[in-house]
Amino acid sequence: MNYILPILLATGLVIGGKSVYQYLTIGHSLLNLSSAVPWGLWVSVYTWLIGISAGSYFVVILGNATNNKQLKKITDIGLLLSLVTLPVGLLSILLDLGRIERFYELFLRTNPSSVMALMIFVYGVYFVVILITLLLNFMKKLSRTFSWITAIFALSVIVIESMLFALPPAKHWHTIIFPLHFLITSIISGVAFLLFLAGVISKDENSVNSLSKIAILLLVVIFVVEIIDGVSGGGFSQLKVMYLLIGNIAAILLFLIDAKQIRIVSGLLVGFSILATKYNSLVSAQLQQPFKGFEQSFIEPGLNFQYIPSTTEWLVVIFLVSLTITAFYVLYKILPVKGG
Amino acid sequence: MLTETKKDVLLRMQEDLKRALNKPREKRKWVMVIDLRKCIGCYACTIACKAENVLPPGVVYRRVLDIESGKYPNVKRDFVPVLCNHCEKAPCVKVCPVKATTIREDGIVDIDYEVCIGCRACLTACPYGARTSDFGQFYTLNTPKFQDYETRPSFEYKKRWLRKKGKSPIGNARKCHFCIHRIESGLLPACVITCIGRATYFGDKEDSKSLVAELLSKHKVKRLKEELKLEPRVYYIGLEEVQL
Repeated sequence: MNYILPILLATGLVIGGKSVYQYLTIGHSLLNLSSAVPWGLWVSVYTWLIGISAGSYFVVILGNATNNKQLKKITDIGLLLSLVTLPVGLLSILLDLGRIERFYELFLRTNPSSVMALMIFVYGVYFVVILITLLLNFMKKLSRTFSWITAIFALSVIVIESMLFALPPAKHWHTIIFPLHFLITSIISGVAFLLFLAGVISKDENSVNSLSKIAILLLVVIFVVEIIDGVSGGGFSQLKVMYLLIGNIAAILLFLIDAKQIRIVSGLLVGFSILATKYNSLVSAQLQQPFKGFEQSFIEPGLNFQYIPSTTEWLVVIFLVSLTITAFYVLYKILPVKGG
Repeated sequence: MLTETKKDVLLRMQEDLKRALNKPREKRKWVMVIDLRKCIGCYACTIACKAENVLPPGVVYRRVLDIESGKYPNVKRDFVPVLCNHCEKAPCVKVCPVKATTIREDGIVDIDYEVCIGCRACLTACPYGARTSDFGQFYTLNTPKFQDYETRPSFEYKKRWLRKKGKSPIGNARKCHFCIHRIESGLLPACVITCIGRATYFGDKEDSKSLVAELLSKHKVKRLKEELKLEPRVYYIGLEEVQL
């Protein structure tokens, strides 16, 4: 039984790794992206992983700031989750670049008006903040003042990232509701995976119950936000309706059941369902044509307003997820993490 | 009576172009004027642009919208060419993280292919859908031989570009550049010279003697999505008649 996880992870890394290699040698032609939908699954995974990182950091550090005993117990795990998801999220967006070898230009020719350019520096600072927090936590010197400041910083990381989509006027992301949606889904994803890890690793029922309550509250808020977003022009795609029914209403009902195992599994499901909602909000906005008849104005491969991720895209995602879990697993074994 | 009717507009614009090129770059502001009353939807501009810039599958700089409106028997069909609008307040310039997209002194929004990292933020930021990404596709991929028409070099931005694996412009964002390489050699853009309806005009807006300046002053012109206040440099005559 103890070998199942390592075997699964090794399989994911090998199969996914092969696709990463193929992609790096062949290029973007292996992807189903188009000029109509230039940001696809990998960008969704990037926003998802960064959201988990900032969301879990925010929750555990807020627990420390408010001296919440249940949340303080899982600080180590939360920080470790933040630490591993951030670089893998950045790897996801790095792979998405058309000219990966030029990523250094982001540092040499930074455009101060570009949110994407600024984000690179924000992520850099955020990574250092996580490391310092982890260190202070191990040394038991995590002050409440530091916790408050960095909690606000983690929130701002998500909000600034949402501006990458919300600021340009072209797509449906250009709404007031989008940053709010982005923020709450990110915190939910952090809470959901924290809940799963708290249940599996620390086996602390109080922490699970406490996180379940937070998850229910956030799921109710995001349900309202999703409805407002849909009514105000975002529409209700099949994926969105599925998310609302399964990832939202069903998840709330499952969290309400007073059974630790069900809540742990729900945490995992909700965590992954956030990827679906991020993907949906990212892709559906791009499917909106700028003018009537735009798609038909020139018909050619690579210009159609449809997007289904290719096998390579999915396999690379399997690699990224396997990498995240492996990194967490290795660091969990190496570092003096409490709750194990 | 417009001067445009006295002389072939191409000859007139050619003269305008030469005059503009004698001025310092910062003194000229290139604009395009499209007379939708004359566009017949032949797509010659689209194809000429494809050929001129050796554009691969999935990359197009100039589309032509084919818009049907009304109800039988009162129906009509309009054609609206759509290209990069070279906005004065271009959102693509703001979002480019590495300043690969800039606005030149003469108003042309260009892309430095050797700097562009291929993040495609500009594609999502453009409200006109004018940008496309070069994903490295070829029309004759998986055939015995790549055909010459897509392996020959293009001369965009006055440089020689051969589309080869791992080389720009593969992996880059691409868009209309008003055929910089042609205009700075004294030639009109490819779409302008191939327009069989003589519906596309190009020139220096700052030159009061130019045909484009004359058209802008004498016609009621509109620009696409003016409500966004991006100050596009592509003007349309007859756009108010089209139900976009």
